[in-house]
Amino acid sequence: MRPRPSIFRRSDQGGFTLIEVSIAFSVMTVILLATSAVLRKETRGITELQNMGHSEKVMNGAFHRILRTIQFARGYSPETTLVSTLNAAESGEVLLGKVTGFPESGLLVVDRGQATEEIIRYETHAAIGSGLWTLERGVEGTTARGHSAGSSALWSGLARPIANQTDPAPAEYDGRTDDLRGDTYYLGRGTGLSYQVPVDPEHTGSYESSTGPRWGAQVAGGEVEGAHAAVSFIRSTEISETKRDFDFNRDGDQDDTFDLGRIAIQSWNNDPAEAIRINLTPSIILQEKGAYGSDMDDDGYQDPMFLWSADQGRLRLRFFVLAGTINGHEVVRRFETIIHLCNGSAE
Amino acid sequence: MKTRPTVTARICHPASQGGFTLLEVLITVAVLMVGLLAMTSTSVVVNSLRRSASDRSRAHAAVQAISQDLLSVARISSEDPALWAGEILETYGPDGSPGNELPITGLEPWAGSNHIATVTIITDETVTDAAIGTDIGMPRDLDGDGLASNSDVTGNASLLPAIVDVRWRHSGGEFELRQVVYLLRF
Repeated sequence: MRPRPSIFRRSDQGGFTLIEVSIAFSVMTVILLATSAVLRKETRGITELQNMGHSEKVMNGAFHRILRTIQFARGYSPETTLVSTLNAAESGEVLLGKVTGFPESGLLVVDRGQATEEIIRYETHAAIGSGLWTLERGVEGTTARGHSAGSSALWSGLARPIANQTDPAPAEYDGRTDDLRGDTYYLGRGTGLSYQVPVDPEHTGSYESSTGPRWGAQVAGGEVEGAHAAVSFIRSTEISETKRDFDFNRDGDQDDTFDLGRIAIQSWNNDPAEAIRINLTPSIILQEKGAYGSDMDDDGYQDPMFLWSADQGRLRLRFFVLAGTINGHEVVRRFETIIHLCNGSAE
Repeated sequence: MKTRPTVTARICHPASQGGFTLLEVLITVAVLMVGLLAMTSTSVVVNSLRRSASDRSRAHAAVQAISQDLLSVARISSEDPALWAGEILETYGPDGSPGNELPITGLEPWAGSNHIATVTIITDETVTDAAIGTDIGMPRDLDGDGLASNSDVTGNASLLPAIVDVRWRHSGGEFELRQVVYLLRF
């Protein structure tokens, strides 16, 4: 009778038994799996690093392009009054004392700080004239109301420090922001700045006429005197903390909703066909929906994207960017700079 | 007679014996350790690189912001030669507000320091580049009199060099970015 093969070996036999081979394979498998997991983690880490680096490069590039575009510009503070009564049902046109400096499309605040305050979205207007057209009344949580001639009207995108910086009454300001030079009370939501730059439409080599610099902007047909431009936040999409399972503004809850958008330069003229838009960033800029300029990093200060000090020609930019992920968690980075407009303000 | 095993016999084994020798176990453990250490160090390096790139970006942005703000302060300061430099120093001078030492959010200061950014406004025409530690062409005329002899041009400056220094540290060591801005009185 032949002996039954054994999974064990006798002490006088060489080679490996089935158990030894099985153990060796098990150990090798564990080591290979562990190595593979570590390598995957490292690869993900390097990819995340590259993505973060890309976001930083994009934002630094955007700051550089904004600086290059507007360093010789003069900024506008679009504020005026209604020249005629505006009925609550009117959706065609609102007539203002002037539309100079108002971006081609945007939000108009009427009777700011009063019981009759209303925000009106308008779609277009001419660079010269007095009308803003195609209106959506009572947006951003306000109600459509009637307004009398002489009511105050301003572009909601403008944020500017108020004159009284020593304990102003709450009605005097919209927010308080931390700044390089100290805490600053300001009015507005800070979504953009409108401006004009010196232009040379006929390519004569001179940006001046007999009366001074020729102010305008680059539109689709070339440089045009009298044209306007604005650098501003353009909303692209909406994201919610609940869906992304992340507290973007670090306020301790996950029930806020944000607009994700880009920074772009828009320029326009009397002819709507000549309006152009140049995107400076991809859609990675965050703003809380319905509360633009609100505190984005829970430091107790509001964070307007654009803060314009007309008397100083000083524009502070502050963007909160969805920069990527680290170890699977979203990362919101704050990017900030100051730009000095050497030609200051138009007013 | 029973013989005492030699050292060689204890760490190696003849082909006919089973089990692992001490030498085999040591080599295996050493190889595993080297592999594990290599993987761990890669992780540390990646994290360090991530932080380093981020910090450098913040520092660069801070230098740019302060430089631009200096230009803005110089613009709004009085056109009166007697007041211009003094008003700039009221903002970014050592006794000004916010002063010449600034914190920058997200960066750690050098050991022994409590601020990240320093602004140094040169008001002494006679100071040398060697004394400042930066090549900005000092001594030079700052008040427009054709001479570089005034040790304090605060009352009549037409040009002020300002040095913006941002110093930060992280696990990789201490780092510095420096930029010079020339403030002109119009």
